[in-house]
Amino acid sequence: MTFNSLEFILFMLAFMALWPNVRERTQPRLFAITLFSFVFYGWWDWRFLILLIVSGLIDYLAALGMERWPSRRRWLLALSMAGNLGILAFFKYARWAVTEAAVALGFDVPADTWLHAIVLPVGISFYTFQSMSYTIDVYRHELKATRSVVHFFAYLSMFPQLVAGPIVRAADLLPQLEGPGQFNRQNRWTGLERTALGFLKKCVIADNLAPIVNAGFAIDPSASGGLHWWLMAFLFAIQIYCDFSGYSDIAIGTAQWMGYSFRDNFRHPYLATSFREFWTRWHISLSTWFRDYVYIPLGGSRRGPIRGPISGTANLWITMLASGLWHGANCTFLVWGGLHAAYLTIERLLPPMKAPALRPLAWLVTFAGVLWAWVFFRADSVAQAWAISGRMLTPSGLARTDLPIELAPSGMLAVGLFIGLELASLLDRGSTARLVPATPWRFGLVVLALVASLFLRGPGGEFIYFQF
Amino acid sequence: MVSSSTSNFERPPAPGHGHPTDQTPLAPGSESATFDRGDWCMWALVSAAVLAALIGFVRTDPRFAVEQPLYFETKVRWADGSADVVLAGNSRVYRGLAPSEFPPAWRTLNFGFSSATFDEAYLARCEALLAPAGQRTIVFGVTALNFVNSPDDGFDVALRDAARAKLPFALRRTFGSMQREWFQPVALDLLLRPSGTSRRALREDYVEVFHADGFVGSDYRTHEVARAVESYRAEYEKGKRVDPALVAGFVRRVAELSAGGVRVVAFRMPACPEMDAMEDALAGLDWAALERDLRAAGATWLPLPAGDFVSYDGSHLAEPSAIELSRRVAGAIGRRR
Repeated sequence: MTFNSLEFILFMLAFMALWPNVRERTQPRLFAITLFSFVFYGWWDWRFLILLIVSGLIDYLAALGMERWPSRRRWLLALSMAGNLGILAFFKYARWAVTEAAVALGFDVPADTWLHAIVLPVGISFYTFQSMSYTIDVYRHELKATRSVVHFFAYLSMFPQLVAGPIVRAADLLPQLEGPGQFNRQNRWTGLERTALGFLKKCVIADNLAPIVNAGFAIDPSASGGLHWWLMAFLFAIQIYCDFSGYSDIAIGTAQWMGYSFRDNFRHPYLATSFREFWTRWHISLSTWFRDYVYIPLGGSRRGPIRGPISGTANLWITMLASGLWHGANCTFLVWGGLHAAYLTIERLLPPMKAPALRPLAWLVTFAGVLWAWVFFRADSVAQAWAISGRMLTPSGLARTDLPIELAPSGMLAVGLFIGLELASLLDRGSTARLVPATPWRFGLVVLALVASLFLRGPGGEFIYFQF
Repeated sequence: MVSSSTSNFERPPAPGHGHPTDQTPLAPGSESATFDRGDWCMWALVSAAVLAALIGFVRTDPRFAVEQPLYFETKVRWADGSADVVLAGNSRVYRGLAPSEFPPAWRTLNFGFSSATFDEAYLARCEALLAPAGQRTIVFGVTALNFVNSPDDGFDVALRDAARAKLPFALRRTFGSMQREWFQPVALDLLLRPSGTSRRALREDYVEVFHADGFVGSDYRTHEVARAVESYRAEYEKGKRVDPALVAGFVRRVAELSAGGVRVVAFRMPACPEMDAMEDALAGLDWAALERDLRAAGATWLPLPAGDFVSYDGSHLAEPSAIELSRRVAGAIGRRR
């Protein structure tokens, strides 16, 4: 089930009624989390649940095996990696890889093969990475394997973050789940405020922008100008940010209501004045995952065939391309990752723009680069993205300023609300994970946000990151 | 995601930036005191629920008091003798003729039902709705489908539903609408436009407003004609045809109504030209003969130029066209009186 559904409201009412009665006792608490999480996930399709359990059991058993047979740690890790990545590769990439290979070799792929019957399980990339981080941490002796299978599955499947993150590390959550959490009024209030903010971002901003962006990207690039595509990239940037960070806010808020804490996943990414900074603000749980489990094991910036300012560039490119591919089986995501790798590489070679007078320019360059990259992320094909890029970046394209898509009032309201929320959040000192007071005006805003999410919701529907 | 150096990138998140364990307690005496006064989380949820319920009440404009699931049942429950002018037909009529555009002195009701056929039961009910004195006019918006026998005749279905209902109608109307309508989103784009009204968009691309007088104003944001024409064509190609007995029965009943002092006005309900052409080719209704026979039976036949009206789905008129058609029909009735 999705957060923005009636089923979830009823689900949460049931959970909220049960939680205070089970949270103090370990086994009932872990069973309740696991059971509710399985219901939450199985609501889409119970068969996906089997996959989640198989994927989880691989890592649970591998971690136990590592402690029992220390000499076989490496083999068990390899087995776990092969299992997890094999499942991910089969369900997420097999159809794409085979089709692309067949096309490259000049073969036709019939539309009714078994490949086309493969359904991508919701959230598979998120829980696979989460599960892998557990095994790797146990392998590195950074975490002790849990003996309780319910404890492990309560961590892996915990419903607030199960299908679209944040990717919570075992080292963060497993110890928390051993205790009853901080189920108190302060946490409940802060969690509710965060949740209300998430619903507002998703239902009012992202979902009202979705039809405009969808209509905008359906336009033939040759029949439109640069202004149209820069506007569409801008609107998509807001949509995807509010869609995904809205989900993260709901996940973090719900967990906090329960008494548990997740790390922040976004910190005003569009205020970044460099691409490096952007990646410390955007999808933090994924970027740190790739940093800790891919980039640094490859050698980070210290090891590589080339020394000097571009030392570790190959590691950077591998990491960014893998990150792009993580998002989906499509060349568009690879190019998106590649573009960001190129940005970061160029940034290494240039002197940093640290002077205060240059900061607006640095912000503008970064933001424009991010917007252009989003075009590849959103486009249906690389060819379409290139055609759009031609309109965005060439003088002939930029000369055309007509707007074939009407920016509906709901879209303008969404953009205004986004800017207002960002400003308010900055004035509120940015951090939303700390405990916040229940002042009357905050109380009023939370109530209004919840009601607005109900009545001013747009037709956008499902969360974008579910497909990843 | 990956930076050039170990600084920043390979460092754990800065304190205060959201690590779970960074939850610094609130300053003493301020927030904690606020929290001590009660569970604000629960109060906020209760307040939001109450506010949502209140908004649901406020949004229920009396003019739009008939909500969809009870819309047809409301019509079959209209009292005998409650109308001066009855607008009769199928969905093209209840979406295409607005009683509000008829002179206010006439109590005009739109008695259209989905897939309504002009059979004896329906025509008898139309007559019964007329007040004993006054205008006593029935306006038939005719389509070929009015003479095609259908198991889904909306009038019959509404009668059956009314008979089967277990709870009292008033109770269902009050609480049914709460459940179904309160949580519909506000149609922001209609609300925020200068000419906007408080209409509700029930789907992303579809707006329909159920009026208490029986009219349903509706429109797609993007008009789509071809799909509907093809779906109707498929039905006809499966064997759907006009029943000559229904046509003859209708003409006979019109003659009786006219003889009984009821003014009968009829016209071909406008649709898109493609739909008209397809129905002319496949439905099996001789429009010239029908017009001739109705005139002979005492009815007034209104010629309406094809192409003056816009259909959003091929068969139903977009609300502005429905308003225009209603004005023309009302004007024609007034002039010919």
